[in-house]
Amino acid sequence: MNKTALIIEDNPDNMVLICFILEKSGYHILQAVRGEDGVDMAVEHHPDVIILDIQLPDINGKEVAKRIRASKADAKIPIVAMTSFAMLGDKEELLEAGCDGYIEKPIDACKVMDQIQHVIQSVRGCAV
Amino acid sequence: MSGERILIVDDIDTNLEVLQRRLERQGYQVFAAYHGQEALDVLQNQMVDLIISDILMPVMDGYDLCRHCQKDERLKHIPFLFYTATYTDDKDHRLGLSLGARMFIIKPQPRRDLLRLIEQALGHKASIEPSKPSPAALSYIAEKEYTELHGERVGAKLEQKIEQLERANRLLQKQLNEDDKLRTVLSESEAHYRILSDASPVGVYLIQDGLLQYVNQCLIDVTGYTADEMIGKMTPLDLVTEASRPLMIEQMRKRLAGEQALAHYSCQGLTKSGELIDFEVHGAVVMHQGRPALTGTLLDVTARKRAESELEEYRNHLEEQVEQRTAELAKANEHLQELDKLKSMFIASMSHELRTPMNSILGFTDLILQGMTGDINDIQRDQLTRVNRSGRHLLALITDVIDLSKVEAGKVAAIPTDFALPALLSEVIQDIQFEAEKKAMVIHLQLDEVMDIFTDRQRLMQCLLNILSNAVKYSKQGDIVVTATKQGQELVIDIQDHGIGMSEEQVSLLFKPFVRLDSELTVKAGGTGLGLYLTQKLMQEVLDGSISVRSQSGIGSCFTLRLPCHLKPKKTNLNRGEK
Repeated sequence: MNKTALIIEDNPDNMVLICFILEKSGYHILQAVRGEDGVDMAVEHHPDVIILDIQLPDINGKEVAKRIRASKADAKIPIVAMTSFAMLGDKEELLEAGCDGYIEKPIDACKVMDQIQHVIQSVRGCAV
Repeated sequence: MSGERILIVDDIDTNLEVLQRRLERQGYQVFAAYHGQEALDVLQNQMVDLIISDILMPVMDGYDLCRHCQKDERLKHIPFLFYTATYTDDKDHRLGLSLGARMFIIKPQPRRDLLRLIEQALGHKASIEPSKPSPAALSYIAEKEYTELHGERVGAKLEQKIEQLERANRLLQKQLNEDDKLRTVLSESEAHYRILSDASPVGVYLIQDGLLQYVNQCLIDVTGYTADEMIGKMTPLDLVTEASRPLMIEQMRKRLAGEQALAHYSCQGLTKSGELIDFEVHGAVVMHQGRPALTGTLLDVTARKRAESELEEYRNHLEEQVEQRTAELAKANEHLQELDKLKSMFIASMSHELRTPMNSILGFTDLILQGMTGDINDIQRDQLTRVNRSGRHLLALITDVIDLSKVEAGKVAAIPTDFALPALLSEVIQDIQFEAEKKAMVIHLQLDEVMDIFTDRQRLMQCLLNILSNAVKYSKQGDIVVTATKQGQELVIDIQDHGIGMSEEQVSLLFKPFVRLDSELTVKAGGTGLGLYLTQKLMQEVLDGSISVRSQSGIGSCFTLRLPCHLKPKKTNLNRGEK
């Protein structure tokens, strides 16, 4: 069975880019443009990994992470934050909100899959 | 009283009158004579009970009168008293008594004593009447002897009188001389005073009987009236406005009455031409021609008052200006604070907005160049490589500009943590390893001890990455040596390369923004021109440290970072940081 990745991202170009990379790695992709939709889809589809942008049109990524962690969704779904909002202290806040890892934009297309795998491993405690 | 009759003889009217009044008040009947001869004339027609006689008199003196009386059978029983202020010698006394006088009284005598003596003398008369020859009188004093004695006494008295007169004369002469001197001094003093007064820049006046009696030149100049118009014709009230009169009247009245008046007071003057002037009056009371008068000075303070009010106005205006300016500044400050807030928000949103599109530019070109989307030909590869490189350069510029504006706005506060320096250095070297290996360069790390440090790890890492990547970029070959040592309270990190090096002139430009040194490597290296400028800012303003460089053209450069060392290094045998 194909692994599923939920991508929550409002910028269409970035959505295409990250979808392409994950699809190449064999993931089935679910897309959400709004944060609340992302939360609903995470509860409904139990994805294997969630890629989460921080600046979203409705609620921000931190809030999305908190809601997912508070929902019925699998508490072990790795959430990887992906943002260019690289201000000091952001990283800590994201981890506190429930994210498991953090990738800074712009991403390095060659390295980003490795970075995602690294986060998943740290959560699952094994290779996926 | 018995109404007894007394003859008094004296050549001085006042003496006669005083004595006569005294005796008459006691009830005596008094007869008076100016000298001995007149007394004898009186006695021709009038018997008396007592004779009181002065000695020194014209025509016939007291001694002669007494002698005449004693010789005359009709008169010799009348008690005779000498009453004198001048014949006070013992010899006079003796002569008087030897002539048959009952008493010899020295003037002046208290009234009561004199009256007692007179009563006593009158009592003697009663006891010796009817008359007997006075004790030894005539036989005792012979004519010749009397003449000699009398001559001697009168002579002595005359000498005394002459001497007294001469003394009085000398005294008078002296007084006259002194008066003369006094008059000279007085007139000189008066002249001085006049000159001073007329040359004075202050008005001087003298007022008597309510009229001006003297005015000096200044007062004439200030008021516009002539001396003739003022003196003896005008009152001081004519020189001031209606409003100032009550005060002036009150003050003048108090001064003349000797009451407490003001040392000085201000009033408004009115000149002949109707101009208003401000006066300050200082007054005093003096004697003028034997009567009290008012004198004093009038100071024209118009100019001063005007200057004061101008100053006051200016001060008020200034205060107003200051207030206005303060308000403007406060407003400007508020505006600036708002702008500052906007700027911070701008920086934050720029950080996101500019980097987001870079994500797809770099991401997609990376994907294509990696061949993940299929094969591309060489021309496409070359062109896409240029797009990707430009994109990375643009990203670096954006990152540096944003960092710089944050540091310059003071928005970057150090977030210090406690960490091991060797681990950080290893991490930095790891990051740069890929680029170094391309040039077959080795990065050596030399540490003698494991040093813990308390500073902002992320910012220090940024600085180290910058210097180290420069070292790799601007070298064709040669190893790079990173050394960390502790020197006193400072942690010193040296990064030595064997690259192109720099001239002194180039070094002086090194830390300026947007300066890129010309060299064959510059174009290839693709820096932003902000890296070292930002590094220096971060070292100085955020990390409390410094950065310096030693370089030799063609040999290499050594960058030195210095940081305050807050924690003591822990000695250990392990060289964990070494590669």
